[in-house]
Amino acid sequence: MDNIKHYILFPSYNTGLALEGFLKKEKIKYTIVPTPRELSTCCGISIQYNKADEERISEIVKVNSIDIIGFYSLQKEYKDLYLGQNKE
Amino acid sequence: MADYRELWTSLNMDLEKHDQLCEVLPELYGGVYLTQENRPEGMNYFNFVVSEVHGLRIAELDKHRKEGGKVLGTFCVFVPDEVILAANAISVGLCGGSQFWVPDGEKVLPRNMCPLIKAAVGAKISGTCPYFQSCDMLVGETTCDGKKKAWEILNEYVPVHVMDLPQMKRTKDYAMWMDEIKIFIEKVEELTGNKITVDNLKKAIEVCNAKRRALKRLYNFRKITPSPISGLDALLISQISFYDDPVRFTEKVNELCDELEERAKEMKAEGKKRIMITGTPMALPNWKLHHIIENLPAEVVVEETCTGTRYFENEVDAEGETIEALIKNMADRYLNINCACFTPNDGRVEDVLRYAEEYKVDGVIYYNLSFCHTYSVEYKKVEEALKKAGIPIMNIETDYSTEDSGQIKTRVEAFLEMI
Amino acid sequence: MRKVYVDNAATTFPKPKEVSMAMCEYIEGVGGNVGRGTYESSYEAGRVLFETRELLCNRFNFNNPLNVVFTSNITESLNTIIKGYLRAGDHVLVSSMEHNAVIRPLNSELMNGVGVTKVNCRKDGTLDVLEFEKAVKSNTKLVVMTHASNVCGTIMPVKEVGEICKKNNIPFVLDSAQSAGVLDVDFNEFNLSALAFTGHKGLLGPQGVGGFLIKDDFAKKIRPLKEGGTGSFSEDEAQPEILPDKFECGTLNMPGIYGLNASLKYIENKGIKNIREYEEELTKAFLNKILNIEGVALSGIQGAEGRTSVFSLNFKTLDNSEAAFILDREFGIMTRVGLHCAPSAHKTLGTFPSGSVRVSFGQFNTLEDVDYVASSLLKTIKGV
Repeated sequence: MDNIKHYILFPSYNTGLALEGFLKKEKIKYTIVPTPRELSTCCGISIQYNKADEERISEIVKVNSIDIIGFYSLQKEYKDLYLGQNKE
Repeated sequence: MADYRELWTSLNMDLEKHDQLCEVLPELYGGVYLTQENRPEGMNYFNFVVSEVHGLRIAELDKHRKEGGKVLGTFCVFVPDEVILAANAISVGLCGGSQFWVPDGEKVLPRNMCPLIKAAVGAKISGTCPYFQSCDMLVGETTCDGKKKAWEILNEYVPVHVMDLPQMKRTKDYAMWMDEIKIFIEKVEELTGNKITVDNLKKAIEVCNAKRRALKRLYNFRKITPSPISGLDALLISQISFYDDPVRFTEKVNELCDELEERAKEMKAEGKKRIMITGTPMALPNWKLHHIIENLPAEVVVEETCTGTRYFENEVDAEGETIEALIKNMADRYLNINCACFTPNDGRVEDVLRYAEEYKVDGVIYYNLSFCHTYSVEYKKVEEALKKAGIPIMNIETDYSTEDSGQIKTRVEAFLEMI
Repeated sequence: MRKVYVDNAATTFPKPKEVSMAMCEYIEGVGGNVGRGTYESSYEAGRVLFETRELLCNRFNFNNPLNVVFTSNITESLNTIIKGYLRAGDHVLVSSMEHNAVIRPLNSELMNGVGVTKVNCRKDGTLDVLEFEKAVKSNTKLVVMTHASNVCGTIMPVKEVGEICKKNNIPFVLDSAQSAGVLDVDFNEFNLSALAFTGHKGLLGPQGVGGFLIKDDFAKKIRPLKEGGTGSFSEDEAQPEILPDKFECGTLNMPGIYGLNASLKYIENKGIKNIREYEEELTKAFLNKILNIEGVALSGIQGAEGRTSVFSLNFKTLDNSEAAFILDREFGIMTRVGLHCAPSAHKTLGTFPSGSVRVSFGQFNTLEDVDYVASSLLKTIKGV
């Protein structure tokens, strides 16, 4: 459970930045991350968000007609490529 | 990373090999940066930049070139960006911070050589760096022996203009450097077809100074205990400053600083040891040492390196009525950089001592890329001065491979316990 | 139409008739080159040449005729000294009223590692001597200053500056373009190391001849700008070190020197005090008139003291260039409009980049000319 991360994927970074603008305004916490390879190679950026905010974000996407690819969840553990350990 | 295959193809890149890089980088970035806790919101812009590192900026360079503009690649903080900007060209600092490129570099360069140089040459030869592929001209300089000779090889792939940086800082050397800047101006005018005037040069100086001010503002926050921004994040920002759009970058750094002002008020000290790193530069995506240090109870609060204070300290005086006066101002600012390729270089020891005090440093780690003679010889003087001032220092000589990471971690741990 | 020439700051016109007579005499009667032949006319020319050096020594209170060097004009003199003397690491001090003949070579010298400080003058062009003294640095190796501004006529405190230079052991070079032949220019009193002059302004000679007077110890440190045949030491392929040969090579402007010889004698006979007082009379008369003309503003010193007969005028209701054009076409008055090769001075006076219309009276202007110019100015303004 702990290692599941939630991402929103975009067709282009412009839509990503558009959504970011709204999230900032609504003071919803988010992080821009490189799209995990496992999910797609479409657009470089994804927005990582907290599951609890998913409903609010969906609403914003609908109301403002933001063209996203979708919401995705992924069991994600970052590897420490320097020290060879797994990190959360 | 994003998929910009068409663009990359038009840049004559080796797509297959590049794909390998694309696999690794998001993973590396995630493991080093996204695992940090409580990062400032303002770092989202820089996350974005890294996520789009071979996409957005490359597309911007491509658009600029399609409109007739030129792109110049640089490798050193001595190259006056002001001249490039004044001619309406784009300046990009070219990397060389990953082991990925070293084997290709070693095809044409000797093994016993600085990894940064091997990686830079390797990045070009392998056709896996779209920044290299986007350059119309490279600007080299006669700083160290390695780079000095490497230009001869790079020149076979893309035209390189070499600036003859003096070895000393006597008055006649200043005159020589002014002449080199003048020659560089002529070269850039020839390449771009644009005339550099007092007006556009002054504007370019202002843009560069604004960026320097923003970085200085950022670093000033790191003087606080605890620092409201991690050493890793500050390093990333410094690395990005070499190639991102200067006006946009400056704006984003200032926005981040506004946030840090508030953060600084709320943060509580966690007893982390405050570390200064001094020495050779860390090109993108070389995050190894910072990552190791900051995964221990320590924070890197300042870097006396070219990817640190040496990049932004001191502004260019924008007052002057003629090109000659502005060239003199640029020469004055740039020759003031205390790189070990100069002799003597007492200014650097003074800088290190001053930063140790300003940033309230508990210990200093001397970072020496392998085979770098100028910096490794200077270690003795820096060590003596710090010992006299009662500040502990340890010396790490390393390259880009991960083989010695465990060893470095152990040594740093021991060092932290000692200080 | 009546023609009135008031551009004497650029060059004096007319010249005393003795000047053209002397020049003709040389070309038609003498013609020999100096120092190159052993025939009588060559000696004759050589004698006149030497006499001219002596006349210049008298004019400027200098004691060594062989240390008088001829060049083609004062710009060449200033370039020779500035470029020949300065080395990397040197610092030079000038005022902010200097002519481009000083400013431009110094700008180039920046690239040779020379530092330059322009001490800012007040809005009327006057220099605060204390400010100047404060600007002296430990590596200040040269001071160059104009005696009087070619834009607004302000006279600089060169005697006091000379004292500061003497105290600090700094060579002082004077630009006498606007003062020679009118004001007292005293090499010794001003503690000069070199005095640059031109023949065709206040000295009333022809264009194409100028030069400088220089002390031995200063001359030793200057690399010559030009090298070539001197009519001496011809077996040697290196430029000689002795004066004036070191800085004089190639054929001199002999007709010009004959003309200058005549004009210097003219000034001696007339008496420089009389010349100066006459110009002061014209100055007072003109000031009385124009200070009452609405629609034209005078830059620099508003009174008659501490200035020459050079006036920098700004038209309030019309473009300066247009005014100068009208003055010439409608009234036959010849002025100079623009920046007068002294952008730095205009910046100090507050008339940059628009420049001004310069009116400068000379020996051969009359009080009627002054009246005529003043009334024409008024008509020009009203006519618009």
